[in-house]
Amino acid sequence: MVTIQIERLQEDDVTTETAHSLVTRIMKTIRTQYQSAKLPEWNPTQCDIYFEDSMLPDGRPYFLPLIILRTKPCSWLLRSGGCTTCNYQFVAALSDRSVTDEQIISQTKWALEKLRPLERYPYIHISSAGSFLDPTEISDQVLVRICQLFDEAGVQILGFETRPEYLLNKRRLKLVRDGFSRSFAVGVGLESVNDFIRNVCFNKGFEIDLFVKAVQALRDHDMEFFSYVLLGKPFLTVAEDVQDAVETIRFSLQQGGLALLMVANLQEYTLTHWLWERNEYKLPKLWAAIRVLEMLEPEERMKVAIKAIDKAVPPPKAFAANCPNCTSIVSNAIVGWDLTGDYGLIERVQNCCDCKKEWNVEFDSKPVLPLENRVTEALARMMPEVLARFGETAS
Amino acid sequence: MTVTPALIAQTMKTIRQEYTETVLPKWNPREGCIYFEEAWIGHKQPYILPLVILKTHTCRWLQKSGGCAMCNYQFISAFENRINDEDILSQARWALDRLSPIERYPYLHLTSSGSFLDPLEISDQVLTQTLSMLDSAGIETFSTESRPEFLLNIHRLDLIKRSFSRQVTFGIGLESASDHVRNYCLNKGFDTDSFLEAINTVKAYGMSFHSYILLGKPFLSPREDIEDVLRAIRLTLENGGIALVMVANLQPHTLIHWLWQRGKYELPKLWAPLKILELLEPDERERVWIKGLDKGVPTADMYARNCENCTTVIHNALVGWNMTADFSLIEQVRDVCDCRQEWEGHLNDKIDTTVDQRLAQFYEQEWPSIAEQFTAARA
Repeated sequence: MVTIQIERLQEDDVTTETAHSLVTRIMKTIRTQYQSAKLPEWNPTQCDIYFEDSMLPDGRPYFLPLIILRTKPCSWLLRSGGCTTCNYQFVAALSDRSVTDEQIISQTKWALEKLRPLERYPYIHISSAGSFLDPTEISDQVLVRICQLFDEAGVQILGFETRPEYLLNKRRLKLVRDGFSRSFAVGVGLESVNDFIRNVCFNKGFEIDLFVKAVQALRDHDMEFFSYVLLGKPFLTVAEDVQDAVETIRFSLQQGGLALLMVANLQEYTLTHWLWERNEYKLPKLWAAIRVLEMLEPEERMKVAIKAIDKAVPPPKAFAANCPNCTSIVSNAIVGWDLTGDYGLIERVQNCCDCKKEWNVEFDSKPVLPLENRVTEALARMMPEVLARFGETAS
Repeated sequence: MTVTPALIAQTMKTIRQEYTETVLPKWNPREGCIYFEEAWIGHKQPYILPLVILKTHTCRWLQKSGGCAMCNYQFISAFENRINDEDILSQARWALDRLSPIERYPYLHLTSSGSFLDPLEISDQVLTQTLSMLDSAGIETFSTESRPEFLLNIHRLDLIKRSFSRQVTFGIGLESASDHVRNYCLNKGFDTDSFLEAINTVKAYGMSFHSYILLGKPFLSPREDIEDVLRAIRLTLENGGIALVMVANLQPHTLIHWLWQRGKYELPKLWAPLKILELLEPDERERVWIKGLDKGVPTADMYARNCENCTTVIHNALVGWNMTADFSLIEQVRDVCDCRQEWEGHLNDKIDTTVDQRLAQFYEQEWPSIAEQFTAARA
């Protein structure tokens, strides 16, 4: 990794090569706020459950239960400060909190008990505070036991999510495959097909080749996958953001997966929150999500759901919205899209409000500088301020 | 104390006096209001239904009696502004233009600031020209709303029939199957008999109807409220209509807002419409929509909610219900949150007063100060 002399940082020192180490440094520094943050109430034998508007493979509308286990935090967060919009690990065993294998199994049992009668839920998604296949979060023993519990409960499709590197661990993948006898749906945070955007704007820390290898491993084990694709990436213009999401969705579909368009929401202790406080970041409008669907071909968009417009863990400071006159109309049309896949719902709201015209102007505006220059300039500007604000506690 | 219609009307009028001190919305007599409701049409095809609200003269019932206890609809109406036929026709043209391409919207709801069939709001000329416009635009179903008394005017129904060649449906604010609740708790001002007479007239013209039924009635306990809604739904369905359960939201300058400010009224929880769907038979609930959850004209101060943890999921389940009539969506969320048990517990709370006693108690306590305000305003 390239080292940078932060104390004497000039804009010219930040290049596309050094930008990644800089964003990592910034993220780690921003995350030091965790130490003084008021953490949510902690009960290591219970976990979070929420429900996503969704469809079953046969097209029936469905509320998909998501079980979020309280485990050790995401390893990538600890190593690199984590992804620039994510605060998921806030539900994890942060600071002096700890959780044992036995407790994680208790959480799973508690969740399955809460969801009874389980016949209603043929498809259940379970995740940890980072990657379900990361052995520091979920041990071998726990992994096998959880899969068995879902198998015994008669669940038809088991969903989980993980960073791609853990999918290359064939032994762990086999443990999962052997522990649960029916179908899998594995979520991988691809976010962008573009390495620079993924790693510098998002601090995601993996190359596209790794993603391709990971989904190949899933195919080898006869497991389905879907990608998370972020809409609302920092530093991108509205048009760049939409275009990047469309390209990323297409890449995911070409690899044989589905795509979840994750509309950014505002989480504290993130890079986007820092930028937002300084008027350098805005959440996307719901129009952007609508535009992504519009730009896709009918057979492509059928494989895309739009997520995070109204619920997230932990509860965010703000969700993406349009103007007060049309937010609930467009938001409900998106809910309808996720539940039914009926594109007529989107067509009927796509110009339902005058605020769309303002958004179109924003969409058509061109940036002065190329993206790489804008990002490196912004990072160079941010770094001293981030350090001054939070001190150089991150090493 | 005897609670009379005159007393209720004077109370409503007094509460409405705040209007005169309120900044009205920006007034453009050539543009109406449009918003959109989730629905399904045909063979349960999800649909987004456009609602066009024309700015016309204010609801006659509001002027006469202070209007209904929860309604602030007339806030978009002309009030003291002038409005003429040409303005209203411009609004209708503006709306069709805004909705272009109109082929997307085979079912269109278009109404006025009170009753579309009230000649003081919509003249014969505007009625025929607007409907001819919708007919030429290829609208399959024209939906509108009216108080029942205006539906007895067959001259007006004839005009509609002549100007519009396809399906017509009238929304009527039945609200409750009980005359007493409708008129004393809501100041609605008509009896079930008038409603039945109106729908029989409409049906004789080959037209349909749907009822608006308020959930969240003042002076009723949550349990009484749910039972009252179920009776009104069944009365509607038995008479061949469909039912829209209007979950109360808080509009300023209304009786429920006034009560709420004084800690005497709470919006219903989202569990209430969910429970209503559960309590109906499958063939009944198929003809019931849940409305008023997240938008209204004018925009409400507050909408019905559950606790922080489950408001979104229950809201989305009800939205999903409105678009699909798929009851499994309701079954999947009916026990997602512990706050349901608490709510169910309160449904069984013992209440030792009748609706009449509660009404009498309210007017006994509040009437002196209301009367004082009323007199002061007159002076």
